[in-house]
Amino acid sequence: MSRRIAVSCLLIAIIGFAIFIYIVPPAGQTFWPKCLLVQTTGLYCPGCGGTRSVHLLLHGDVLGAISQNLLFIFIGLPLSIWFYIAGARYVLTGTWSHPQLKGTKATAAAVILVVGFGLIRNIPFEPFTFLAPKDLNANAKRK
Amino acid sequence: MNQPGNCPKCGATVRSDSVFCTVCGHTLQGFSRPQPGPSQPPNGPSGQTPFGQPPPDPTQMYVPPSHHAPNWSQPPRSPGFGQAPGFAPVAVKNYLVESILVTVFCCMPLGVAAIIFAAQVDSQLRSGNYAQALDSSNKAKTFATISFVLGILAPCCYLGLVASSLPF
Repeated sequence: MSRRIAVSCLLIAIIGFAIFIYIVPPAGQTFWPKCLLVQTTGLYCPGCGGTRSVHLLLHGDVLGAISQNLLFIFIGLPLSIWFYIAGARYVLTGTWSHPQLKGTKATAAAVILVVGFGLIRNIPFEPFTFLAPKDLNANAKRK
Repeated sequence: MNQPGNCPKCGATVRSDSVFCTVCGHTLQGFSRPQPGPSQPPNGPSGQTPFGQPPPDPTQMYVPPSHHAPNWSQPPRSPGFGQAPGFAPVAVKNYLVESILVTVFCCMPLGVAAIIFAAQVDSQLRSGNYAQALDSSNKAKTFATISFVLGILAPCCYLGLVASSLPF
């Protein structure tokens, strides 16, 4: 029972987090930590730009959200909504159905998409730069 | 076949063809060896690959203890729980969804390692290699957990640093 309370607190915290992202624009804030991988190596990981893309998506700017992080919108959000629904069902009914991707093809597709996206978005040419996150230095520009 | 034996860890009486001890969950040694006996031909179709063929009686099938999802709930323990056609009769979680989410959200290269281990679970299960599949599953879970914790801790440490450097 206490576990159900903990999960429901987590679900409420996620909604609060989404509201926070909606209100406060992530670009140019000092209190949002910049990804350690970008800070140390300058490389973009598969999740770079995720917070900005969620902020833009919540404000209805789908194109802007996609240009920040394509993978986050098309893979990360559906999977996390899947987890959220599983968690909500657990809170309501007490049964936990673990979200699982099954099968060799689905697995291979997921691996190639996520890892390949992380590699391709670091290529600094014209067609690939669409996948790279934008406005990373908004903080520096505003100063 | 099916003569009772004893679990080497806790001593409980278990069926000789069980994969796990039903009491303590210990992986029983020699579960992958075909049991030579008069009731089963030694080179029978299911002799070499214990997971290649579904067990004859689904109600006798053993669902492993919940050390993968410790006490989260009582999942439906129906005979086909977590089972797809052609898959092993025992469910091994592959943690692929968690690994992807951790990679995408927590921004950690460790998540990629979790993805690679998670991706091996299903094919290892399919080829009947249960021990390796369980090993990959545990590694994927470990890497996903580490990167999740780091992904939570690192921003908290950063926030602490920022807050401590504020001029008030």
